[in-house]
Amino acid sequence: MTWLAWRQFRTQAIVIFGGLLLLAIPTVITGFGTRHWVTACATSATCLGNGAPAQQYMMRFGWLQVLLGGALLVFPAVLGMFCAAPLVAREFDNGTYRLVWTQSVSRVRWLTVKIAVVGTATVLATGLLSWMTTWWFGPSDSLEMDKFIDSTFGIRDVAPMGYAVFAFAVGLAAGVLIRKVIPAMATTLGVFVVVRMVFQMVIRAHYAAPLTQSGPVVGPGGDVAVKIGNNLPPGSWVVTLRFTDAAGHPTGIIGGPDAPCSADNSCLNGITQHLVYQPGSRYWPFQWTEMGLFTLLGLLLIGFSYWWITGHRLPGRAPRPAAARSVAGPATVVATRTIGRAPEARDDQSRAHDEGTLSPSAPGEAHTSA
Amino acid sequence: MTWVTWRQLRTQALVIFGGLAMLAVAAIITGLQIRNVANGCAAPTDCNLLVGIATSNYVWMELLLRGATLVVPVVTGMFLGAPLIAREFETGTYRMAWTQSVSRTRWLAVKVLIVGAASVLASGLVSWITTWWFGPDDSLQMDKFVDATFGIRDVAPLGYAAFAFAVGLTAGLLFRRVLPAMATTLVVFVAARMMVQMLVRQRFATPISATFAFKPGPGGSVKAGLIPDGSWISSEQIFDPSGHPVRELRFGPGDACVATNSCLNGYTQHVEYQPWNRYWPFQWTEFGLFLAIALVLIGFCFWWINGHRLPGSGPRVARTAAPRSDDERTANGQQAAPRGAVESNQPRLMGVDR
Repeated sequence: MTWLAWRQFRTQAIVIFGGLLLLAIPTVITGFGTRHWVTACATSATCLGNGAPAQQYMMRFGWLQVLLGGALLVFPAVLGMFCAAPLVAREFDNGTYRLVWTQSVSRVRWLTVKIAVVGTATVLATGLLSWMTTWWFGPSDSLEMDKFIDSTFGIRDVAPMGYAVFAFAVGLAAGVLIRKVIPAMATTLGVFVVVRMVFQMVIRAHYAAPLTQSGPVVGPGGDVAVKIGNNLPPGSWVVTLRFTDAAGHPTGIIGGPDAPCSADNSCLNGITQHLVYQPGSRYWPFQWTEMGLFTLLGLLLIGFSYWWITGHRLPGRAPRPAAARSVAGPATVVATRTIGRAPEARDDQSRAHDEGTLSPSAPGEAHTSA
Repeated sequence: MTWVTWRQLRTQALVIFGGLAMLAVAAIITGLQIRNVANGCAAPTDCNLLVGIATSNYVWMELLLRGATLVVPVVTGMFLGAPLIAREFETGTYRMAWTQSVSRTRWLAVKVLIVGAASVLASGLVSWITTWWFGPDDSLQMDKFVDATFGIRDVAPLGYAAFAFAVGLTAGLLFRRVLPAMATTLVVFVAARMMVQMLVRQRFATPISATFAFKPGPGGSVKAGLIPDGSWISSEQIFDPSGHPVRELRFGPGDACVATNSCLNGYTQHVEYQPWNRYWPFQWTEFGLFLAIALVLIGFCFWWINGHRLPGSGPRVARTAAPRSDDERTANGQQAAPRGAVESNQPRLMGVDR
């Protein structure tokens, strides 16, 4: 079974890991180049700015930046589409499920081995790519203040592995439910993008209760103290910035060039600003939470796939007896038992009926019967 | 034939254009609010801030529109272009589709016209929505050529869509399997798009060269005011007073010239740029380039589909075989699977249908 799973996955695995290897070559070379400049600059007095030559060096490889960032962004979804969605759906599409699920290997074991081989490979591939990307961007990331920004949080460290588990599970579940490869792939893409966006924009900020700092907009010396952000711990993520007026009511943009207070710069007097933020020290807890939540969702979907695949009628079966249909429990048992029966035991008429209804999508079957 | 094509495209078309309609509703509602702000502000300096704030209120919409315009061409190429022929092979239905009274050329022509037009239309619509939505914000941007916006505005995405569709079609015809064709479409499209963006686009027209002397004094920004606003600077090179190119300016705070701001005296800067008024020529060139490649690929598909043996047909009979009917003869005189081979398929087809 393991051999079969590997044999069917071989081409995809070679393409995926071969591609990663190709990407790794320029990444390693230029990554060490950047690090060379970082260390050279640390000991040299002629370096302008903090790590400027290293930054310039990295800028020369804009294509690699785009490639690494873009690849890691789409990698989980692509793997879910191309490895997970066809996993079960293709068996249905080709009609080969009749062969594989009537062998001595139970459906549960079949699915377990498939998930173990293909699922592990997709998560591993995403993990490797994330490791490469995180390492390559290391020197420039260390200069960034905010590690939570949307453009980097999801394509560094462990979060992408959670996405990979989730995308794989969505692909699997879509394949089990829809039973057709292309719609399952499209569903995987759509669901993954939507869930990822919702987490990024709505849910992530609530992983931990944010902290708040409040202070007057206009400082004691009359200068505009919007610099309150400077007091935040390093690497903080400012979730929201609110303003309240002297009476404590929330207020929006004040004044404008025509307002009378603009003349004497008094528009902001009495206005308090509230910074709601997540401190930089929460970066790793947030990464693990993001990974954990997506993994959890993924495991739920995988569990659902197990439940569905063992408990449901398969296409091409004779209609279920009316009595059994009304009761859920016994019907499930009946369906499982009938499927376990060898194809030879079925009479020719029902077999012909099966093939008649399935022939457009079952070329393999057609050849054997011809 | 048109009806068959529409019938087979129906579900995908509903999903794609239904999704676009939902996107359009959200874009129109939020876009009108941004326009209200843009129309309401009197002074241009004020507008920058207000429009910026109004746009950033809808980060999700920004992300959605950017992402959609970026991926819709390749998604339609993968999901509409790649399975177009590959699925016929994979499910064996090509045997039925190509043994009807409709010739393969006509079959492909109708498919390409309807499905290809739908793909290009989808990208055109999403690009139109995106261009409109970002309009107020874009009008504040100086450089319209930046990679982040050039490929997801105006007409360029239509060219990408045609190209992605053609790549999918060709990959499907060559591989005859859906999944490898889809994967190939993705990879080829991304590679071609990146290559054009990073290497080819700047060569659409010879850049204008200009050399400036660094002015003494603080700052030393020489380009400002000398190069038209919104230009795309493709290369910059600094030369020292003796005319040698400088790889890296090495002045530290300890150098004596820093105090008098004279470090850059005698240095010149050589700049190559594309002026902003080449934006539309560049857009049309990008569109035309991708469209031309697409047309070549589609032409290749027509040639290939007619001139090659199909799987499951009998071995090709030597040249002495009787000529086929007119509509199945290819332009270059090469013959597709002989009629006898097709006829020998009939019993097998019937065996399948039973």
